Amino acid sequence: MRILLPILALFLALAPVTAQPDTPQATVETFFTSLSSGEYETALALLESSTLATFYESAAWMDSTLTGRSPQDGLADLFEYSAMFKVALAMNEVAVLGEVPDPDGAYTYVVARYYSVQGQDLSEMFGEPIPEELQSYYDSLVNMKGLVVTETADGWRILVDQTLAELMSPAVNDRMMGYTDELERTMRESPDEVPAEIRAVLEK
Amino acid sequence: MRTLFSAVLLATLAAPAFAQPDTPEATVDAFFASLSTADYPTAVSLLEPSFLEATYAMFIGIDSTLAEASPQEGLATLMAESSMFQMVVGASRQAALGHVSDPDDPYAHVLVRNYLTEEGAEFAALFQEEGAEEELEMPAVQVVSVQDTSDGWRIVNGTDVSRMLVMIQSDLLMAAMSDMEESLDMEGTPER
Repeated sequence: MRILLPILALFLALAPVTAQPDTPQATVETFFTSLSSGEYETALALLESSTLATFYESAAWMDSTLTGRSPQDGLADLFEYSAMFKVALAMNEVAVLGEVPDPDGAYTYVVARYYSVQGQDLSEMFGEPIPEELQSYYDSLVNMKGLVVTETADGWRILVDQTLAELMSPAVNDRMMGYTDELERTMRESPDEVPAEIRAVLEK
Repeated sequence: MRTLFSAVLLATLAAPAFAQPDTPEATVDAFFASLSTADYPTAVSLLEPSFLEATYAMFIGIDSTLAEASPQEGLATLMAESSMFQMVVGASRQAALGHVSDPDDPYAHVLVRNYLTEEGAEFAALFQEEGAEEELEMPAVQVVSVQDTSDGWRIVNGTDVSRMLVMIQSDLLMAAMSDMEESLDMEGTPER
């Protein structure tokens, strides 16, 4: 018993504060789960540091109020403020399906069912009536993404590529264009003008 | 001996005209390889018929004369004629690395890595900021979805496949605008 206690104490002292996902697939799953539960700093900590810094710098270049912050802190604040980011996130259906290693050895790719095109009105997009069968065919399609994951000294980390930049860009656009301010004003003054899906996300 | 000869003859007659790729990865590799060797009819034959028809219907929306050809012949001809399409095809080469299945749909999703060709790297460098060369080193990947049909694996969707096909759409739109401008010029020219 006297031997067991010091071993237990040592084990507890060495255990990380939060459990790190230990596979590429688990890393991507934790990333999306953290985003959808509003734990933005946890999500951002799972991004590879140098590419996260590059993304942060390009966001700060477009929005100077971000300058001088740490990438995690600045981007977490950007996400927290942005209603458009939250709406885009809520409308994305993300399911991680599996991983594929690269024979070059440096990366693993995680395949995710990432974004649903359902609800996109083709007639509106092309400015002319589109047959119903064609619309249903497009509604049945899913948009798949490959996320790039690399193993670092701290564990598996996601590289910020075009896929993630697309996900995060509504937050930057929102800050630049002031969409959230406009949306909050409309919600206050004439809530009926806000589409039901967006209202549901904002009222959470 | 006669039995063996008959069996060989039967197997030869029953063999398809060209070998069909028999896995999701082989199908995607065959598609991109056919494009890079300008074998457009083979590339088009690897598209799932509904996907092909839906894509071609959009092109007919821009140029109604395209309705005179079948989607297979029409799309192969458009691929051969579109310079923007060929430029995008020539900018990168693709390698299918593996696939995953989706429990919720009938597709297999093939992970494809894109490598810039020399031509593509030169083109991309034009848009790079100074000191941002490392961005070119980022692995570019895409997912191409394939479906197991009665004729074998066929492509139903894919970011890069769609991006390549959109180039044809751009060429058609530019041609349509040019025709429109020309006809406006002719209408606007006063008779002598």
